[in-house]
Order: sequence, then C-alpha cells, then structure tokens
Amino acid sequence: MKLEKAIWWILISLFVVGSILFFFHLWLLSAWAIAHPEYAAFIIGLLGFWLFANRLIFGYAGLTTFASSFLKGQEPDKKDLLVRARQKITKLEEWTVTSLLALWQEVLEPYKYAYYLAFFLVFVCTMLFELGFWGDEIASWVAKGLMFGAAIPTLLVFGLDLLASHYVSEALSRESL
Amino acid sequence: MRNPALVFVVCVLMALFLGWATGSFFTETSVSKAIASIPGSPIVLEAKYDQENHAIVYSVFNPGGMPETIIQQAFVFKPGRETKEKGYVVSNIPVHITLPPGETSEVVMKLKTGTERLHLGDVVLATFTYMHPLSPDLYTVVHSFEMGATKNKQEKKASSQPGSSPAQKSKKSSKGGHK
Repeated sequence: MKLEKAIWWILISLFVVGSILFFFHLWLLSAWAIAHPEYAAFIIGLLGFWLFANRLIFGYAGLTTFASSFLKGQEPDKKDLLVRARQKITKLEEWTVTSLLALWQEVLEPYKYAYYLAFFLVFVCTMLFELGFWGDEIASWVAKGLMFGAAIPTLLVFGLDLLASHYVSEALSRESL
Repeated sequence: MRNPALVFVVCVLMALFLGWATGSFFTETSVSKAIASIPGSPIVLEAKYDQENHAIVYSVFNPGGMPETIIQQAFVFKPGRETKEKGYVVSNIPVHITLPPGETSEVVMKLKTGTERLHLGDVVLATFTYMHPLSPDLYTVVHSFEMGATKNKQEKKASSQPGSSPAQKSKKSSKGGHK
C-alpha cells in the first residue's frame, strides 16, 4: 500500500513537473521534446499509462500475494485484505478469505477493461498513423513511441492479471472441496 | 491459464518482443534522422528518347535523404553518321525540378525545336546542374545519351570522374558508328 502510493505520487509529480517545464519552456525540456518527439511520446505514454495502471498493477500483485500465501496454508488478515481491496463491508467475520479475494478481483475488473480500452484506442490510432491514413512520418513516430510507452505497464497488468486469476481460482476450488 | 510457469513464459516472451520492437523503433528513428540529413548525388538510371515530343526523358534517382533541385539543364548535340543535322550546343535552360529523397523521378529535357529527330548514332551530352539545401553551391551531373545504344553502354556518370569521361565517350561514339 505504501509502495503503491509512493510510486503513484512520484509518477504524478514527474508528470506535473514535466508538463509545467514543457508548457512554460523552462530548462530546455521543450526544446529537447521538439527535437526528439518520439522519445518524449514514449515517456508520456509510460508515465501516463502507468498512472492509470498503478492501481491494477498493485491490485493484481497484492491479490497474487494474498492468494498464494493462503494456498500455502497461511491465514491472511481479513481486515488488511479489505483495506487493500478498498472496500467496505459489514459482518466481516461471516466472509471467508476466498470470498474477499473474489470480491477484490471483481472490484478490479471494470478498471481493467477501461484500461485495456484506452490501450486499444492508442494501438488502433498508431496503426492508422502507421498506415498513413492521417499525419506524416513524424506523427506516426510520435504515435508509435506513445504506444510502446503504454505497452510496458499494459504488459505488467496482463501478466499479473493472469497470475492473480490463476491463484484466486485455485483458492476458490480448494475452498469448495 | 492453468500454470503460473506458463504465464511466466508467455509474459517473458511478450516482454522480449516488446523490448525488441521498442529498441528497433528507436534505432530506426535515429538512423532515418541521420540519413535524412545526408544529401546524395543524383544518378541517371535510364534515358529514353520521346519521338513525339522530341525530348529525352531521364529517370533520375536521388539516393540521399534530402530533396535536391535541378536548376539548369544544358546539352551538346553530336551528330552521328545518319543525320544531316550539324552539331550544336544549347546551354542554360532554366528549370526547377525537385527530386524527392530516395525516389526515382522523371526529368524531361526538350531538344531544340525545329531540329531533326534523333537518328541512330546521335549523341546528346546532357548536363544537369543541381543544388541541395545544405549549401548554395552548384553541382553537375553529366550524362551521355546515344541513340540506339544498348542500355549498359550508355550508362555513364561523369561528375565524379571528369578525366575518364572523354575516353569513354570516344570509345562509345566509334562503336556507334559501326552500327
């Protein structure tokens, strides 16, 4: 939780400071970005998409950790689990650990699809730029750099999602036996 | 996905391809930026005589990354054996033809109006003067076109080797005469 917040604040402050420096033409940043637009687009894509993916990355990573430690026989703290899932429920003692894990996974689901939709739109726009439907070569470079920057957190989300859903379904199937 | 190991392998493969694509993308952009700043010397790949318009059409390839502009054409007509036309020189035909980078474009040079059509063995020695954006200097490409000559015989570029061109030319005109 602490690491998640720390990374989120570092990234958003980098983003904000970078934007301010860029828009007010301070510290040679805008000159550099204009000279190398594809590198600037890569950094913007990486920072911006990581900001959106941060909750998903840490959510799925935490879900994997809790589910795998539960499968090893340790009983995780239900209150901690609930805090990490950012949910409020009543009668916590009636909930099992696996149902809390399932709830957490369910909560992350809409974020995941919104995130994939955003990445898909960026990807499609990059393809259109690349095929030359609009814009020139520089525009296609910028779009491609943005897409590659965005692809890095997307890959992390994809992998952690697969891993977390595997462990959660393992935990659920063990409970139902 | 049943197995965490499978998830791991799939993600490692995807990360490998993503890193590969990103690395080659940034290499590609820097290389194409470097190439785009190099002006090339135009090469005449092919010349054809257009009977109807009494003009020679040159296919000029610009191998560099910068656009080049032909600003002037000049030619020397040397008669072969079959024509009655006498030799003449036409110089300084101002033109403005831009050769886009990395492409082959067609340059038309109209021969003097009122003169005879080209016959076998006639030689047209064309000089193209071009400029590129880096400097105000003028550069030339000299191309010799011989009517009826086979393709590999007529290919010649004299701008880099001015000493060798007259010898080649004389060899070629003597061969043309035997035809």
